[in-house]
Amino acid sequence: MHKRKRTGGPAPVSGSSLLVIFAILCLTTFALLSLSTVQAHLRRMDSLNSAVADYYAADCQAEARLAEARRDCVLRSAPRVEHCVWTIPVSDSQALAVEVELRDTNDYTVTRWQLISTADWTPEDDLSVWDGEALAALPEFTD
Amino acid sequence: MRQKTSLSLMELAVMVAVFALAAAICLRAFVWADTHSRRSEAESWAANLCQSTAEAVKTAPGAGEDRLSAAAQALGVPYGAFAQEGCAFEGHYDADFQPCDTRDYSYCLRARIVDSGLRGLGKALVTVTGGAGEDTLFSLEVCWQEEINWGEEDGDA
Repeated sequence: MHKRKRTGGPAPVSGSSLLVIFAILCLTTFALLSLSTVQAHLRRMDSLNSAVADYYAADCQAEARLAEARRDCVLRSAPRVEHCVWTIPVSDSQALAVEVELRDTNDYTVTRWQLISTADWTPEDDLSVWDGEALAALPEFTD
Repeated sequence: MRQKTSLSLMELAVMVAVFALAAAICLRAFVWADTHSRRSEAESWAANLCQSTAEAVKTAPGAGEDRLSAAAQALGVPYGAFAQEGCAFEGHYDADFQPCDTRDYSYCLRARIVDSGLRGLGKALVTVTGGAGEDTLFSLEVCWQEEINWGEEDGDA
């Protein structure tokens, strides 16, 4: 009986196997990249489409309130000019601000129909912004 | 020597099997990504088309069907009686989102008047459908103020 001696050389993997392993790695990487790209694209499209849908839903609500206000104004016919202001939420951070001047003559003027931000704004105080001090220190230029 | 050859063949067979498995999985991932990418593109285009149609309806003159007729004229789509009852206008588009003939369309834009439940308020439903099953890709409702002689109607009431 002859026993083979183990040698501490590299693993017996041929060149073709290495090539196949490389190809599999490339395929997997590209597949994962395409999947993540498509998922990011889907998320972006969903948020854009829901933003459009939310805006038109709020727009319809504002139009309905305007129609109700027009009817009430005509039925009451008390003031000559009535100033109405509504804020209709569109999303967590946006709202539709509407200002309308109603007249009892079945006439109205929309003075504001604007998408505004309702999110809290926090100013950035850490940035060192140039305040014009260096300019004041410069000598005055004369001809 | 013979043992080495059989080992190499075995290794090659295993590698080919692993490669086939990985390629099949990756191919499925590519097909999924392509399908969803096309769907996302169609939904994005549908949302844009619905939005431009809604704006055309909102800014068109007239009331009710006259307003939709004017909006259809502005958008360049035919207006009239179509297969679906109550539909005021239909626009047909091919797979590349270009206007096309009625027979060979992939996507369809429809707009029709719906009841708003309020006097003086007009409402229309704009929908884009597409695909084999005519799935609704995007739809939105658009409202506008209509001229009404309140004095006469409420005076009667």
